[in-house]
Amino acid sequence: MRTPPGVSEADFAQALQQFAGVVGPQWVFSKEEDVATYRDAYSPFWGEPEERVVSGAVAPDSVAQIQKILAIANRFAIPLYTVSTGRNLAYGGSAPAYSGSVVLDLKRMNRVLEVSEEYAYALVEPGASYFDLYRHLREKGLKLWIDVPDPGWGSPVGNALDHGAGRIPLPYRDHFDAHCGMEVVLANGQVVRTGMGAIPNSRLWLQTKYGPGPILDGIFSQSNFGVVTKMGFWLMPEPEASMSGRIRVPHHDDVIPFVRTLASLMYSNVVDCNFTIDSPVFASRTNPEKEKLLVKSDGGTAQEWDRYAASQGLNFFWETELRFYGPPKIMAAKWEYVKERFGTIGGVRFEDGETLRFPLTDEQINARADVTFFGVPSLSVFAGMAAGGLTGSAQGAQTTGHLDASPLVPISGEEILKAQRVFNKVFHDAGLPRGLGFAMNYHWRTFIMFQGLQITNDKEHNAKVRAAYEKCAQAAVDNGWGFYRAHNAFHDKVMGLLSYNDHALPKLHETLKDALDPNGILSAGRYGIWPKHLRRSRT
Amino acid sequence: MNGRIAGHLTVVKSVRTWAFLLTLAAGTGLAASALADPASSPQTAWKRSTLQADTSLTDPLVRRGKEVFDARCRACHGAYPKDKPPGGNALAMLVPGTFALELRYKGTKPALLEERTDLTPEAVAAFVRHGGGGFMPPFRPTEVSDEDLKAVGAYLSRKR
Repeated sequence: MRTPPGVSEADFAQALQQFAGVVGPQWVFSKEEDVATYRDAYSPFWGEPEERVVSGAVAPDSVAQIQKILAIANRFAIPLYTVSTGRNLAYGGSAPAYSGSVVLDLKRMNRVLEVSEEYAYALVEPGASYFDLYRHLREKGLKLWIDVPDPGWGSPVGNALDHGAGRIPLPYRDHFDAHCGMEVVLANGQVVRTGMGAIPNSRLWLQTKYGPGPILDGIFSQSNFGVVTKMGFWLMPEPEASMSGRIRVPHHDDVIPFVRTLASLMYSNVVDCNFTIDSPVFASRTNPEKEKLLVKSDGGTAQEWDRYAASQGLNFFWETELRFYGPPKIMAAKWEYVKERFGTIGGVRFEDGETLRFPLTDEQINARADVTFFGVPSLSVFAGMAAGGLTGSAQGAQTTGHLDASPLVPISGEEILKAQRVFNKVFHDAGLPRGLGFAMNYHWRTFIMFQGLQITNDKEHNAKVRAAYEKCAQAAVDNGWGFYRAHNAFHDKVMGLLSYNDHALPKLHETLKDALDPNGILSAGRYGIWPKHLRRSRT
Repeated sequence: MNGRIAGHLTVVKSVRTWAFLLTLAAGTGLAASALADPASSPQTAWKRSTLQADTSLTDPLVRRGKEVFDARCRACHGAYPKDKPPGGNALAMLVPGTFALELRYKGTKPALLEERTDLTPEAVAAFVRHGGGGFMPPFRPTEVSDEDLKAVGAYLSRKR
């Protein structure tokens, strides 16, 4: 049996026994075969000494059980690591940031506690998955949509707390932003409700984020200051219909007015959908001519790229697909207005897409791979990975996972072009096939440029992937950009980049940690926040 | 999630009219699910519709095993559409596990687990608890309990 670092075997055995007294022996895991299931299946350190491992796990079924577990952990100084469904693959899965922690597995707390169709919200526990919430709405016949990330087996609570996002219109697509109301168990066992939830029998807890006083919800995301046990989410009333429209522009430099126009339409709420800025020129397979442009110090001039595109028979350089949701008359008017706004770009072309009416039938749902755009959970995203072809692919090795460097850049064509050059260079220098990223508006007022990297059974390849991942984060910071989320094996690295005013923000995190969790029992090291006894000097 | 997948979506849209059965709910004789066993895995599922028991299976362990398969496995290891084109993979994306196994076995074994006759409960348990060797991660006892694991092993290795 492995023991958590700094904990004696005798203390650990006693703690496990007491955990079993709280949750029942079948929900405490310390046998190697059970503990191994908590490994991060997509660990970038898989099978290497730096892989974060687990000493055991305990799976409570209620807030009262969590309170008792925290008291035991405080007594024996057991480092816990909280997961909701443990499906946060590519960001650490169910494995801890601090190797040797005991996982506080909330999967059994899987209840959909309340849904209001009138007020369009749901209150859920951390172990309730997107599939569970979706099925609940269908079984009750409620005309509400959830928003789901690409794989739907995770949970609204876990995904929101890690700042995840999905595909339907804002604000619903940004999961933390779409939450309202939170219940947290603090390290000392105290149960706190945020916002209006502080008012006993509040009827507004799940409807307004503001209570009197500071808004504290944010400190419980991407952190380790408490155990979140309930969260409310605003849901989108099922729209009447949805239609799509495609826009294509012919030249390299068109990306600048193209993105400027899109930004203006977004900021005025004419466009609220999830879209990507794609380029068949950049995304298509490389060839010697393209390679020559990519390795040039200026990344190739606009004229060179336009000539290259023409030589390949590509008749447009950039494109995006927009989607509208709502009554058909309003969607048609918006699309007409969008066309008018883009009409000033020479050579722009439009293509009207399909119109779908809701609810979709089961047949429609089961035949589509893009159901997440309609609030339907799916796992189909994994098939694309199984087929290979992530950027940063390995040659010949068995693919066993993936990692997403997720830099954020401003919504600007100039910045997209610059980011293409910067991240191409990172991949080139790392000796990995180029990650010709694309820009997507996951969150409000920023583009994300995912740089997907394959984890394989080849340790040498994985070392290159880790180096490229860290360099993506560094390059983002060097250019004044950022990143929205990170794999927990890199939390120290990326949080170390928050150096404004001598790391004032990470220092504030530590002040909060010391006040809220003085024994450091909760998810040590998550997002670089360490308890005092494990804190290392920044120099 | 990445550009390649966005590209796939475009492909899939062109063939979206094909009927595609992710789930294989029996047409008649459905009984309420037995999945509410509190000592076993939660009544949660990676499934979009309500779980239902298949009364055509008489062995209770096998019947439960099919429920567990429906709840936890079918979203990835379900069947292809009947009219999947030879060699085409656009719709195959929708059942990633079946698709990955087709790529792995190259016709030497059925890609669909429910068509396999060589599976043993031990092999099923090993894949579930240790992962499939590719993208399939391991599943914890809080997701598939030991009891449910035995049941799904019994279902996939039953005599046919």
